Amino acid sequence: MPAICFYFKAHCPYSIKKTSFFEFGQYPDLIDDEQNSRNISNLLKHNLRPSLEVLEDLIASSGGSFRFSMNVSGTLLDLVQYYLPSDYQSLSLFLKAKEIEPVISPYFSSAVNLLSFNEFLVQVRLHREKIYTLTGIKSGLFSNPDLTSNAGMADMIHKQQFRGMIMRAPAVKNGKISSGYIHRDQKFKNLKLILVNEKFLEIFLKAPFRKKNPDRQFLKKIVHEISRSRTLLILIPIDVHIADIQPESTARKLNFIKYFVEEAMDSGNIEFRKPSEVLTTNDPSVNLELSDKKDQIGSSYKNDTVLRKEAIRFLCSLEDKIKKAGDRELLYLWRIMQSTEHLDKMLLPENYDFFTGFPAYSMHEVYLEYMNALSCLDIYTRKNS
Amino acid sequence: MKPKVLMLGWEFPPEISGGLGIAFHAICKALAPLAEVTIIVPKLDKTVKIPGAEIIGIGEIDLDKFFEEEEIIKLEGMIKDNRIEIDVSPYPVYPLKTDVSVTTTTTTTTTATATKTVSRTPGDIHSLHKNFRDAELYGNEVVNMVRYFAEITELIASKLSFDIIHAHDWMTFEAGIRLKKKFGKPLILHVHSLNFDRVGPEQEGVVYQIEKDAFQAADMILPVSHYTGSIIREHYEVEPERISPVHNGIDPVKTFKTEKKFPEKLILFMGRITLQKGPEYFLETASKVIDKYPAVRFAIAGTGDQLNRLIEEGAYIEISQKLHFTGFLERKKVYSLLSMADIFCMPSISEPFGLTALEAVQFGIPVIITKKSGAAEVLPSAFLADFWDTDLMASQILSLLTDQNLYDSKVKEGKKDIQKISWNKTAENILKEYRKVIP
Repeated sequence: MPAICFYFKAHCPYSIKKTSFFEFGQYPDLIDDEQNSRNISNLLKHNLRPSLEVLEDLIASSGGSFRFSMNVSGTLLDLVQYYLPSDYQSLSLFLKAKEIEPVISPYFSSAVNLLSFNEFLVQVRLHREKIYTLTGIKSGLFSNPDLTSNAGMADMIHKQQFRGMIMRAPAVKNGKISSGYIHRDQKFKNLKLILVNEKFLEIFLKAPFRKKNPDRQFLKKIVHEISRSRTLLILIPIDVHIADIQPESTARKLNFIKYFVEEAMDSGNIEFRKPSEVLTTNDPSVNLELSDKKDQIGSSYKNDTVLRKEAIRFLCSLEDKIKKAGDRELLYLWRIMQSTEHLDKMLLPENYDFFTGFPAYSMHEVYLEYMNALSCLDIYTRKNS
Repeated sequence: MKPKVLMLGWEFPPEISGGLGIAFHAICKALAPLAEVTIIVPKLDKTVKIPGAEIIGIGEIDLDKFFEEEEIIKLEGMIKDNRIEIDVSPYPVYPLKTDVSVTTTTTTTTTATATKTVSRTPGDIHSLHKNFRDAELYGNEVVNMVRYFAEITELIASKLSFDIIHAHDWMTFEAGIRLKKKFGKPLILHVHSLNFDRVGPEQEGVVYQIEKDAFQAADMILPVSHYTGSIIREHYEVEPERISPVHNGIDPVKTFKTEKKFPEKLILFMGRITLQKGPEYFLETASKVIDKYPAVRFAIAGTGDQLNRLIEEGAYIEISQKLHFTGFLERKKVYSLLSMADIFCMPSISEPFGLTALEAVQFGIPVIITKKSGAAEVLPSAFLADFWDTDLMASQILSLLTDQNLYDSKVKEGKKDIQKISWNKTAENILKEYRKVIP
């Protein structure tokens, strides 16, 4: 019977304050408390809490047959723990449910692999520990935040004893990607590669917005299509990201998932599984050899700009200094700088609304703010180490 | 007997976007004890006063009280229906969101981009007059504002008594010509900056023409430097006898030193980030210095239409960790920055004077300035270079960074240079020129 593995992903980046040249040398007071508190409250109110409620209802109504995986970033957990401690308890309880498999990623949910493999590993370990402390589960499932990967990353993950890695279609040196199969690169014997099904990802991203209420006929059609294939699906229908807090949009997505799950359950032809469950049941896997091309581990490289590259270069150059300084607060600030939305806003604008809701209105302004913050961190670190 | 001077200006504190506003205000202040000065400007903050001078802000006067009804009708009749829309920004004002933010405003071309006729209805004079209070001084409507300024000034002048008209930069030149024609008084044109400086010799356009016509009508032209005088002579074909350079002065400032919070030396560029100011040469110089002497930081203070391009260039040549953009700065912050800086660099392609270089010297900073500047004429202690010679500028900076004796002597010599410069001296020189043309 075909199995569907849902993968839900929740992240909230930190907001940083504007810093001017005249603040260089002072303590880098970069965290914008007011904005962060507002962001996380809005995210929980309009997005995360309603999502968790629907998922809990589905688990309950299915008698535990509805299972899925979920990634909650380290920064989101920190923000909730700091600003909304009572929600942190509920989130912990939710993630402990046996129907949910936590997915590990770098703690700050950034493209840290672009900075340093060493730091990447540290953050993977930090996230794994945080999830373990929260749920008591030592997860064996990994995904890079932008779902990119290459052979180098697979090697590191493999050495950390992860059993599965969720990814979007990777570049392969040898072999072929077969839709619906688990894949394996023989260099990493115990690591299986779970590929997102792009077709159904697209459907789940767009379909909820075609009509106000879920189209039952359309849902039946999808369920039918899935049940006829032997396809194993990994979908990412909800990306609870700070830039996408729209109550109406969340409600539509959740409604769509709810009706889809009910339709699939009713059909009796589809199972919902946690990824670790299908890793063992869906052998033999298809062999391939992952490419080690560097540009395969940064999904945004196509829209990259000279500004973003220079900002990342500066960020990277601080790693040794910050780590040698041995100041935990400065280290945390440096890591926050890896995941602030500023880095995304230095990419080529995707649309006219690119800067909506963001406290800067051009990539140049974003860049200057970001570089000022890094300079502030850099100068203070050197002065005090 | 003190001459009665009718001073026509465009910028007046706090509405200042560059050297023009600062110089105009300082000249008026220094002349007030020596002459009977009446100032007409488009906008006026009534809290700003100059002892001994009368100041009229066109946007602030009550037209109905100031003029008789028939005068207003006459004024409306005077205003022609031809309006020119022009994309021109002689001294652009860049609005800022915050202290550190920058904008992407782009306004520098000075050629007329479109001409259209707009019909006018009676009563326009009131809304037009209101515009002087609310509108930006520079923008697409600047040529029309210049024309209205001339028309209203002519009417205001009929109620004033004056011996001489002294107009500052092209925005007030038309008014000056009208007054000269109507009242038969001598006209002095003070040139703080030329179209030539801003866009180079290739583009002539409307502003160039206004300047050229005015120079032909003037009794005397006072450029702020011999360098600017030579441009007026060569590119505007004015006979040298009517050109008499008068250098700018500088206000005494209580200078101070602030200890930087970082150990590197700080090299400063301060000014509008436009092609005229040569910021790309500053960047090129910075890159060459960093290669040989990494313990430096470069700061660019100001904003302008070349800012984004400059930011990208800095990132492209990978010097951004040592290159900082402060955005537009208020006076207090300017002084704060000067108090931290170690070297000042002004690589302008064409700089009529360059008050910022004098301010830097006041703060005890050695300066490296372009040969094509007025400041080079009054600061013999300064290192000079052609704007394009970034090798030379880099080596001058390096020599200051590595030779403390040289550095100290430049600071000392600079202070001597600056002692010889004052607005009072400027005012005295202007007065001499007045005497030459007043019958």
